[in-house]
Amino acid sequence: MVLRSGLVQIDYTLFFQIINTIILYFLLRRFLFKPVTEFMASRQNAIVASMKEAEAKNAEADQLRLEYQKKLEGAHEEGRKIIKDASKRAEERAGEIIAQAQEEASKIKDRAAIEIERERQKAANQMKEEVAALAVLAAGKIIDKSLDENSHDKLIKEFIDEVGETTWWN
Amino acid sequence: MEGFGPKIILELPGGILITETVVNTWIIMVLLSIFSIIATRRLEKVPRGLQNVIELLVDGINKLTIQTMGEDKKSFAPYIGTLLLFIACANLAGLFGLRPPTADINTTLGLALMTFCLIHGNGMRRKGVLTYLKGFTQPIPVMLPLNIISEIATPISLSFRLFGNITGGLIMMSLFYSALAAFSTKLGINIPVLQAAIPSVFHLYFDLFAGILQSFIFSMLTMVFVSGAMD
Repeated sequence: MVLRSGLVQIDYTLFFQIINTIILYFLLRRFLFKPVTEFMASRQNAIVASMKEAEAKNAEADQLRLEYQKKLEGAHEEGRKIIKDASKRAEERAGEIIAQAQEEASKIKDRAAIEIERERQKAANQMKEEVAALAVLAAGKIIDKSLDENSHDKLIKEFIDEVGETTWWN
Repeated sequence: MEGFGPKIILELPGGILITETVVNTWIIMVLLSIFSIIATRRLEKVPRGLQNVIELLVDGINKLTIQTMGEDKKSFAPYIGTLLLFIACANLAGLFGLRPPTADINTTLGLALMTFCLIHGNGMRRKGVLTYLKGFTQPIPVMLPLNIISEIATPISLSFRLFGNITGGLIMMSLFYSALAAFSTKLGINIPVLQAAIPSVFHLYFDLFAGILQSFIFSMLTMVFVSGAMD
């Protein structure tokens, strides 16, 4: 035979059950509700934070993209300018070099002409002297002692000068 | 006398009885605590398996509390959740062959008295003792006795509603089992074969449906009364 208490009978069980419920409340709060609620709240915050961060990063990326695009355009512009400047300078330099070279060449040519002229003069002079000497010698041999060497030398030189200038070179 | 009351497991000196109700409550407490500890042992950012269930449960209780009582009273959520889980488990204990602790007036009256204390304690704390007590003379001072009776009626109605529903189900189910056994004997079979399968439909109604409904009703009424006293 099992002993049973009454179906509707208030006894010490009431206090037991109140205490049990309070204990269960603290247990569940400590082990179930508090950790899970805190965990979910922290996760929610983390998600919100990461979404905000992503948005900020997106905006930053957009801004950077615009900035870089602008910079790139600037760089292109600058590059074109540099190339233009450089080619202009190169052209100028080339012109300068050519002009210098031409000047140099003309100088060299002038110098060469002067040299040639001098050489020619020298050769002509030498030739005149030699022709004069030969003429005097020849004349002396022909006329023998009738002519004084010095006075006739002068005579012949005058003749040669007169003739030479016009006939020798042409 | 063989009745429907809880079995007496142990009698402590001084006439203090440890009944089936208390022992079954301890079993439920241990199981709920172990479940909580296991379920919240490793919470991960991406929930998996049991964590989904526990998050759904806790979040549902938090949301229900906020929805019913208001955002400022969400600190009641753990207590409401405890009520909901404990009463639901206690009501469902019948499915596992344990006598539901809620089929004992001591349990339900204990819970109702705690609700009573919460109602008036929080009402006084929120409004001030005098203002709160003055509220009982509203709208006219003649209403004072009626108001007091109505306040006292609250825990009684709360406790007997739950107790009656679960005890009624318990008694009906045992009578039904006895009837099935008697029919089996009438059919000339010594083993009560009719007790197999047939009662499951009634368990579905009396234990599962009524049990969960009553736990929900008790928690909802507690929330409504407490927030009503505070607002």
